[in-house]
Amino acid sequence: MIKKRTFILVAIVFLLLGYFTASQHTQKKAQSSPIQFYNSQLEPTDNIILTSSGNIYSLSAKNASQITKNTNLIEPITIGNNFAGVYKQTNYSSLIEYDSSGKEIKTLFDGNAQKIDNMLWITDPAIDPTQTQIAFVSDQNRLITGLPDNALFLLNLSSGKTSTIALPDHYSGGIAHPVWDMADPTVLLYDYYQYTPNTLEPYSTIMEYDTNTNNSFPLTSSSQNVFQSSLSPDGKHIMYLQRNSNGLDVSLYLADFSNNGITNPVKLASGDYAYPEFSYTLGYIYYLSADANDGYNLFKSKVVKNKLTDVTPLTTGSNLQGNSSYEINEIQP
Amino acid sequence: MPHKEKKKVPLIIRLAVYLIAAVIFFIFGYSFYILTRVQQFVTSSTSPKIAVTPSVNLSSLPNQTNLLLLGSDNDQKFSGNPLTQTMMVVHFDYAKKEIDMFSIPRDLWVRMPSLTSYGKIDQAAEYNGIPSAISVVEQTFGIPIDHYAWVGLYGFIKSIDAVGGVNIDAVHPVLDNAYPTDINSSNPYGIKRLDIQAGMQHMNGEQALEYVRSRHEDLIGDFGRTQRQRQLLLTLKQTLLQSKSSLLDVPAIFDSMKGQIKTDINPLIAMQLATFYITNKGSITQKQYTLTPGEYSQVGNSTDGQSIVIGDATSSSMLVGKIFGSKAAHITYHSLTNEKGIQP
Repeated sequence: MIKKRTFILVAIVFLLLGYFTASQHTQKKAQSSPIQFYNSQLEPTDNIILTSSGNIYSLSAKNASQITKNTNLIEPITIGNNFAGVYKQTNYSSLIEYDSSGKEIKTLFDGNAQKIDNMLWITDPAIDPTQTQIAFVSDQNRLITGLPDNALFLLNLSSGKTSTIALPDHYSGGIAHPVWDMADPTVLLYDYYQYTPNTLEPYSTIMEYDTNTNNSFPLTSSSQNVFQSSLSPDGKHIMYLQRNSNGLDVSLYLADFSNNGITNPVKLASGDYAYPEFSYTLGYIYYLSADANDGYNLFKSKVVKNKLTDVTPLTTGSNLQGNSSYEINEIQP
Repeated sequence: MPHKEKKKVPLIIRLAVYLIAAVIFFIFGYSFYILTRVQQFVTSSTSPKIAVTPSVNLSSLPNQTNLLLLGSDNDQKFSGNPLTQTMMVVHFDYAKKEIDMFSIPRDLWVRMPSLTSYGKIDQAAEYNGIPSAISVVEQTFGIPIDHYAWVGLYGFIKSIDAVGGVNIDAVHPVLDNAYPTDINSSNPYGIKRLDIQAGMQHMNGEQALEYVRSRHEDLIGDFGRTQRQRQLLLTLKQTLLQSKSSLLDVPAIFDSMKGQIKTDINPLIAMQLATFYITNKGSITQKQYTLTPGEYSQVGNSTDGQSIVIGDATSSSMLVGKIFGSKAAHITYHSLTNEKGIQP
């Protein structure tokens, strides 16, 4: 028999317990925890340079080392044995070079003009295969032409001089994410943001800049709305992201790349992907991705029959910035 | 006579009954706390209803709910009623299983609540607060507003932070050389430069606010901002559905937003809207509309020199009719025809 008194007692105790638990419960916010590297999962051919919490890290299957400390950097690149990253502050950003021990060497591009009206942004540095010049985007032309959007520039590492190589239309949205073809130093791809003429919908196309002819031409159409391309080490394949019509996520595409442009595209997956990159080991790719409302982590995946398989996290802690690219270099045998 | 022995319930059954009862009463207690907090939140954040004489007689339609979402970005700067720079009607059609989001340009030139003067629609709330904003939407478009929700700067930031931020694809780079720095600042006119790169990224409340609030250096100005606001709303909804936050987090989420949001949506209505969405998730059609320039409106000037958006009576009324029905289309056509105070 169930005792009435005991039952009432249980009811009251747990009713109150539920009420007070709710009143005491504090919200568990999704917070980033210290980054953890699972670098042993990297392909042995690959060295990855990335930034987390403003510091540059170098990862290989054997090692994970922190290069800089308290530097507040994003978008790292390697220059020979040295490193560089974008130092982004309120109102401006600069590109700063560090040696292999993390000591600051010099400022390659200074966006801090002291006066806010003259301050500049530098974004998306990408070093060419010959290691002699860096492609980047910046709004520095606004001081001369009034053009507010990011244009595409080259920084000559010997002379330190910059030159404009592609200009967007006024108020188009601008240029982003230059990518070199490591197999052909005359080919530079970039994203060009615009609006459709009639409905004023934003879109982006992948453009190709030919350093021989100094001409740019589109590789994709406005209806494709694609961005953040990456070329395979042999220059024969391309990955890129396509914005889905739901406005919520993107699709990851793999295609052939040649003088005929982009052909045979296949969709690998849809989700919250950013900055896909090829491994130097055939069949593997890397990308940034996030779970639900968490921040971003780096993943490796195998591509089998046009699908992502063996998805492996290389970092945990959700403290990579989705809008900060990383660089992959080949480890020489 | 032999004593009739009471049949003893096995111990395991008794324990099971106590355990189930304990769980049920714990949930009751917890739910009661949540409901009281939510009810308290709604009560404390609802604006007092102030009668504003509408020029049209509208009644809610069966199987439909119109929710007016309002956002202000100067609520912390100045005293008095803030402008409502964001105005969006979310139309729930339960029978057709449709959710339509109808964005109204902040600079749309309309007749003000006073019924004697004309102005930008975002200025309506200056007359008498939220009731005035509701009244102007109703009289301009013939849309009966069943419920409203208003959020200011801090409420917006706290709402995003409360769910742990959002993963969102910035569909265009956002460069802004004059973004207001009025958050946690004593200077309401301060500015900073803003650079948001395109692509998928994680944004906290402040970053998300920058993304949806910026409108300088953008070819389509306020329309670009409206597109980004709609995108963020969809992302936020998606985030909530996929969130790791549980019912346990609800009181804290409401606590964090207390005083930052004003709404007349009570828990039952919220439950009704959420149930409609969750139970029909796969079959609901969601559409987004705005009075884009060229197609439904044009940019012009008022006689007093303000840059304004002038609605095209024909195309706008057809769009409104498509979403809200023929009565709304009829009222929209008349309200946008022969508007006064516009430079020829």
